[in-house]
Amino acid sequence: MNYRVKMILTLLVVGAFSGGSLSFVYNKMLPKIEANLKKEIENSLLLLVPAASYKETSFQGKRVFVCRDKAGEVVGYAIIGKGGGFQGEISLLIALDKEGKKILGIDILESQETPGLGAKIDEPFFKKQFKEREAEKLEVIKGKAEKENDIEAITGATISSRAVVSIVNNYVAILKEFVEQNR
Amino acid sequence: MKLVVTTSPHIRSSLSLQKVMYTVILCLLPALFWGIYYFHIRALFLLITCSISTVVTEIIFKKVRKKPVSIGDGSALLTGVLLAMVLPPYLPLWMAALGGFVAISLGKEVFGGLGYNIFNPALLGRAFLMAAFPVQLTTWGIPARASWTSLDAITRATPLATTLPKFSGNGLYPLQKLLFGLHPGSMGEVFSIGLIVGGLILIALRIADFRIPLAAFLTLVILSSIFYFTGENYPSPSFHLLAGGFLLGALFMATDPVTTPYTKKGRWVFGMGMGALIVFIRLFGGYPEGVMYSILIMNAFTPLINRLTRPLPLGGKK
Amino acid sequence: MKSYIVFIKGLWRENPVFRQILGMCPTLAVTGYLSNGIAMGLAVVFVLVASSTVISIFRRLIPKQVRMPTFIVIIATFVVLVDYFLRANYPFLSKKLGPYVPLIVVNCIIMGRQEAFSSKNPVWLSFLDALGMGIGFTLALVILSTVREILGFGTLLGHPVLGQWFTPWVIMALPPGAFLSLGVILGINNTFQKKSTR
Repeated sequence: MNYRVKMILTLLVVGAFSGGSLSFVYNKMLPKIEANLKKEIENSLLLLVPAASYKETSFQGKRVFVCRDKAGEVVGYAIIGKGGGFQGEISLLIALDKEGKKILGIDILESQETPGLGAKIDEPFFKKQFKEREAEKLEVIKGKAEKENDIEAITGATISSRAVVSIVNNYVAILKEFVEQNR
Repeated sequence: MKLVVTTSPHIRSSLSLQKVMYTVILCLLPALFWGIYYFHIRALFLLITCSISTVVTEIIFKKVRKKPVSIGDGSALLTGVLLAMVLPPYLPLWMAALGGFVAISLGKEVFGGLGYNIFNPALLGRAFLMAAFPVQLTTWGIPARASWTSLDAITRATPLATTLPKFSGNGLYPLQKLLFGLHPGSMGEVFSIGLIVGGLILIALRIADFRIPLAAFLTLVILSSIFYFTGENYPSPSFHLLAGGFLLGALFMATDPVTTPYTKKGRWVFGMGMGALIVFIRLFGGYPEGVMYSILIMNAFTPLINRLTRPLPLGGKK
Repeated sequence: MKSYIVFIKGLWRENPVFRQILGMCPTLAVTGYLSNGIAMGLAVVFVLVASSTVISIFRRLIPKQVRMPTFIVIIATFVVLVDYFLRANYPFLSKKLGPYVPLIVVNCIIMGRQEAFSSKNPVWLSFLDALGMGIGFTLALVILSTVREILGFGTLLGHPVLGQWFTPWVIMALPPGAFLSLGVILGINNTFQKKSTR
């Protein structure tokens, strides 16, 4: 009987001690962790739509940001878009101007694309192609872009490029709807 | 009288390893010559680089492991030739040399040398290159016409790569072009007629067994016909047969006695699996070409196939 | 003399990765970049040293029947600690290492050292043993990730080291590259080991 009590006691003490210390650390770290997560999105937002304040709302279950300058005027909108890539999910931030007509830019928040190939979607040469585009349907093309809505695919990573463009197309449509309703 | 070599016990054949290897190389010559003629001098450089690289690697490994250098049997040379034939003709030569090194070192010598390797060494070398340099390995060229020794090329996608994503009919590459090798592709894969003739000679000499190529051929034709005649955007069976590496793979690589089953039944299974995998990888996979992976995958299944199809010894019970 | 041997054996002669083939999951998964390899190695050193020391201190109090759950809880505590620490202070690194930080809990090296060493040996020796094994693990990760980062990206710690002419071998940045380079290193290592024992 004695060893059973000892067993239970040991586990109890160890568990309580571990739980206690972890909850203490968690409470200490939580604000910092949350700030990091927020900062990550905000850094991308600042890059795409320089503004004084970003108000997050939910639209059709998606995360949408309304960007205002110091005077409180709306300068643009942004949305977090998600979709399947070559490996795993790609999550990106897409920004539109205040009329909802032009794409201000995109930024990759998370992706698991192949390093050295698909991961190039996060490089400036690819992302900057989206800047100042009309918010219409974009298309991926291998080789040199010719038409107005062509996006050049990354060599060797056509599937990743296509995935990004299709996410952009889907979410630009959603964001345009949001802009229509909230103007 | 018909003589067929299958499982033991057998009477020793007069064919030596050396003779087999050099006969295979001879049978590859028509396709090789065409490749060099069509893709000009760069293809010749590629062939020389691959051959030197595989042979030198084999010598180094034999020396390091203090085994007799058996370079005369021609197996390393054959690996080099086959590797050159499945690479894009304008590949940077150092990549080709690396491929040759990997083919022999990781494909053959680490398993203990010829006869012990699980995978076809040439294809393993190509698979490595494909994973390491996907861009260069899928950039094919057609010769710039200027002169025979010109090193320039115009890059073009192969028929399989242009056609498969969205099939638009056989218009761009008609059958005659594919048969006579007038299209971009790997150096030794374009000249279909040469490959067919060489392969038939090998089968007639009983160096290659007809079962695997035949099974692969039938499966490929039947499966691709089903898709061709029922779906809309699928390429025709003849296109499947001629546009990629099927002929070279089925006739010269899937008939390698080391890495394929030795039982008759097993060879049928191997061929069928290979044909089916080619169709599925080409139509539904991420790559335009499936011959390499289909053979490598079936190589991996070979020991299992051998086990399951082993004939019972006389008087043996299940 | 004895404590010296306890420490040194984990570095090479009983290296957890190259000799014991333990901890393969992080070894294969996070060695694409040298920075990831170092970070993972240090995280494991911390968890291993901390849990070995604690377990060695309480080794006489823990009943044999429940030693495994007790060890796991102690290890998990330190792992979660590291995870929070990274997420709060090095979010970029934490994102790159992804689920492999929490997975340190089930790293065989750590549980293995508790079972084999710290549950039976005094605190000082357990500490040295854990430190040696942890550094050995880090060493292996550093070797592997150096090879992979140079060949797979042409860089080292993010700085280009091979120049413009070099075409990165994409395969080395991918999982097969981890298997390949680990296999080659193990093969070379075994060859030498055989020669020296002969």
